[in-house]
Amino acid sequence: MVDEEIIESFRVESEEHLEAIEAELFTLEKIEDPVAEEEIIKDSLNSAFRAAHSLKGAAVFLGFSNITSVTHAMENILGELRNSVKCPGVECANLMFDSLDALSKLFVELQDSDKIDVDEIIARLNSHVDEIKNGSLDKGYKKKSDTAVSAVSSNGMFEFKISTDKKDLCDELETIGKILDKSCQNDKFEYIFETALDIDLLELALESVKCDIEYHNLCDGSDKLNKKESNVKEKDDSKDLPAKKRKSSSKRIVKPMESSVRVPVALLGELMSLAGELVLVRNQHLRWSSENNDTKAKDISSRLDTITTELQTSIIRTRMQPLDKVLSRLPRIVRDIAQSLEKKIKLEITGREVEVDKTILESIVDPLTHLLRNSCDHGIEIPSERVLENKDETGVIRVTAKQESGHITIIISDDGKGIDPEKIGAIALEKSIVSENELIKMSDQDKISLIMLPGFSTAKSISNISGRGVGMDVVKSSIEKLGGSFEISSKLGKGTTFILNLPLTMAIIQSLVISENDNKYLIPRINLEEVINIFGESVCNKIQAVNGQEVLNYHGSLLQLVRLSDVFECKTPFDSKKREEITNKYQCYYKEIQQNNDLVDSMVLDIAVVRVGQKRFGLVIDKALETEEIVVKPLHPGQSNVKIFMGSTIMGDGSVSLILDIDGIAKHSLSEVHYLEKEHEGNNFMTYSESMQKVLSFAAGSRDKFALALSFIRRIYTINAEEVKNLGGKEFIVIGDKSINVARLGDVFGYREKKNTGEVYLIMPRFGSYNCGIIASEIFGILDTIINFDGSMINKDGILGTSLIGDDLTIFPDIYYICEKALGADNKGLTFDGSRLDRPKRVLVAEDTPFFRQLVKTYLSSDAMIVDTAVNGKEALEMLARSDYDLLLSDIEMPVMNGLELIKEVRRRKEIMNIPAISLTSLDSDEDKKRCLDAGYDTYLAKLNREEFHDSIKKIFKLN
Amino acid sequence: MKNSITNNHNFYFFFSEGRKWGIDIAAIREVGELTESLCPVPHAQHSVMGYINVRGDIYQLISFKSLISGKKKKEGSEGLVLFLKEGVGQAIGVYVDDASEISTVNNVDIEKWNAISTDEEKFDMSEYITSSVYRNEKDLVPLIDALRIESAVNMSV
Repeated sequence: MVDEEIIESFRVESEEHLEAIEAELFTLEKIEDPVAEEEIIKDSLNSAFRAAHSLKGAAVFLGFSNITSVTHAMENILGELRNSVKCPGVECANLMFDSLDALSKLFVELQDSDKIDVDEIIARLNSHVDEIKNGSLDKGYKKKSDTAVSAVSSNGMFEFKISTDKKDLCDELETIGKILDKSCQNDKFEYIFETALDIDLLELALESVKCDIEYHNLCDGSDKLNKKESNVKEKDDSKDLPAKKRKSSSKRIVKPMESSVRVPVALLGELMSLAGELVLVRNQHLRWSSENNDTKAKDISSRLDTITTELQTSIIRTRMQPLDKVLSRLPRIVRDIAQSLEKKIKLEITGREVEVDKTILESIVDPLTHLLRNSCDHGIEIPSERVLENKDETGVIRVTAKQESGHITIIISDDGKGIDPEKIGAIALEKSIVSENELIKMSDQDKISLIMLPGFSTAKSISNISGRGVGMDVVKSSIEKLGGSFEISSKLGKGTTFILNLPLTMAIIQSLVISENDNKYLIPRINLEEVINIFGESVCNKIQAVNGQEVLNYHGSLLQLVRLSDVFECKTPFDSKKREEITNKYQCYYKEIQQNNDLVDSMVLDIAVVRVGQKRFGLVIDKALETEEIVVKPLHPGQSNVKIFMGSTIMGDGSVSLILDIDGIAKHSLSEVHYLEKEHEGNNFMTYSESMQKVLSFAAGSRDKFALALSFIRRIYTINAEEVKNLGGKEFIVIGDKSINVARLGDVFGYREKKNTGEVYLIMPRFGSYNCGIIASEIFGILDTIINFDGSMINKDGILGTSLIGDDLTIFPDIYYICEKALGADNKGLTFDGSRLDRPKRVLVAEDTPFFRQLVKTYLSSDAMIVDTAVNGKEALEMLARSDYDLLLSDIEMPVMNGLELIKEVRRRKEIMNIPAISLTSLDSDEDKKRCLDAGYDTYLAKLNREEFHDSIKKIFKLN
Repeated sequence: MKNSITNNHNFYFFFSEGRKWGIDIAAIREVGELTESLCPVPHAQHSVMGYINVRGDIYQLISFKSLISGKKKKEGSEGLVLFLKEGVGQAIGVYVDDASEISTVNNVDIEKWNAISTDEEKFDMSEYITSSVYRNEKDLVPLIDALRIESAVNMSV
């Protein structure tokens, strides 16, 4: 029974041999000019042959006959190619790759490898060797031009001369080879011996016998072998002597001191763990000596610190392995896919030498392979398509790895067709991953990011290359599990780039120590962007509420805030109600505080800006303390359900602290659907998609900045200010054959508008039948922005609300009110006096668009009604179940649950079935109207005829 | 006649909320006071007091009174920690009010406890972790099954 350790050693060495053969085959495949690159061909064939031969020798020695047979057949082909200095053609290379695959399978089932059928691959190899010999495959090969290197006879065996004092060595030798000749002279026995073992293995086999071993009968060209294998020679100062003489003068083969040893990974793991413990002791000692102010102890601490750091660095290095271990597998994947899909793909790899921890290296094999397959399958086009796109018919995939301060970045980019955001959006809609409304609000980058959601696959059929439904979400979660991040960017027609950020090691990490509720916690450095500190009035001013979520105005964008104290307090993940409750709590608190100047001045808030992949948010903490290097220990097994911590550690003062899992905290406290981040002109900023709106930003006169939701605008005319006429106190302009009334914001809001000259703009409202437009003196552009209406303004006539856009306070006018004013309509007449009702009526408005929600709320509030709002049908249904309402006003197109589903459910439920309900929608065909009424609405209203709106309300409440 | 050695068991008796309990001494690694600062674990079960560092190893500390009562109870600082042996629980310390004594109990004085209710609503954690009862001249002392402590913690909310 062969020792398990030897078998394992054989397995590891064999993997290296297989990798070496594969690498040489790739080198040979790249040869373009066999004549000019003859030396490279010779070297590669020699290396591949030697690797195959060593593999065979070891397999013979350990008795694995199938591996022996396959490698022997491969060796024959390589031998033939080498003898004639030929590059393998495509067919030959494919056969060799297939053989490598067959060998890999044998190594997987090593102990049972002899039971696996290898006849087919051996038959193919043997038949191919015959074809090479017969010259029938000369096409694609180069003719022999030199004598090959060989220490091996034609049957692939080595010949050795063994000199020994031992009388009979025959038994030992015959178990591993064949004795060709035997002689005895002066008590010295000499054997000419043939074996498949190379010199290393032969030496190992005869370890217990005192003897001298040397090569015998080296073929021509053996000089090269001698040079190549000079590491097994005793001395090289005899290199000027003829080869034979050098052989005969060589004595017992002495290997130079080995520069490396094999160490079990488990032992390295143990060393790493001990180094971690030492780091903790070092931290404790450092703290103790500094607290006790003991000079001698400080000296010792300082030395301990230096040595520990060096020791730790060295031990970490023992576990570090070059990325090449993974990257070297990629060419084969690309080659195979390119062949099967009939594509031309060139793979460029840089950064093979970058080193990373073994655990991380092993964990990125699958994600990297998947991404590469994806690039080949979905990215690179077939040559004919590429030519049509004016691209080179060979697509290029670049894999670049680089190390940057404590982490590595791997970028996989291709110059293929890129990702079509519209196609992704359509599929997401079809799979109900997003609603139509959500999709409209999404940028291209948001849509592309959808492919990282679970279950998303654009492949129309399942292929064995990529798109098996376990796509990018698996890649993303695998990378995030390692504490890294994964991002995708793509340009249609230009290509796609995948970016993976990974830590170098997982065991010892840099972290920020924070304090929360008098306890210390740790934020991994890889998740931390910066810590910001806001104080005084800024706390009240910069933190706002957007749809029940606290956000911070941060570098011109809005950063969602999560308070660690609330995360700790609430064990169940936050729902929208909880988020709103938390937000209201703090908003009320800030309002109270603002009454007291002393309290405002003393307010301080520490916010850690953290990031996991594409998620970025602000974590409100009590205090940021210091940074510390920590050893990650797992949470107690009983706490596997606690998702907000990734582990624990022992601090310098001996106490235990928990390490925050930033991804877990994000999942616990932020809404996934609304949690999208957008790349915009190189700046990252967070968006709250539900309230993300396209608005037209403009000026009216020189006063204030205004904005209108694009959804409210039908058209913008460019007009000449001088063409605006005044008749009877009313302004109008003739465009085409139409006379259009002109409204000025200054007239409504009571400021004097400077008379414009030259080019101005007339903004026409989209809904309603108003023959009126608003004059804008300047249009700044269309912005994607987050609207946070200041509620205190909503009762002011003509103003829907105000919001910060960038650093400017922007007014959102009620375009309908403005137009009605300009038309001379008595707005009071359009409303009814809500106070005539016996009690204030409670109205629930279900509407997903913030502007409409605000507009309707404004109208109803001005009628002295109590208005609650819901952002979708589901939320409305929940609210109806919780409270009594006198009227339901609902949009039809909404995410999660639309207006038709809502009313059907309302009419089904006994306790709320009788509530009057009005549908308010921009769908205005007769068919739409019928659908609404059939579903259960009492009245149907098209957005947004104010007169009709109020009439309907009057009817409902029987007020005429 | 049975061998006297096999007829006897050593138990560690302790107090929790004024009641005496017993645990097989073979399950205990050591008994100590809570001297290290405790790291609370938000979102953990109510009986988990937190983590402590015991000579470089992190232990999870369980409040015995919270565990058996099924709700979070405030602990005093005068209690004792029974550190369970490896194999009985994975790095677990059980915090109790006070120690009573170590006593040898004859098997004839131990009665098996089979009062575990299968009704989920009437489920009682103190019954779940009690394996038997020691009957002496004064009272009945529940003897806890140390192997069930960890699962009891995991079962609680």
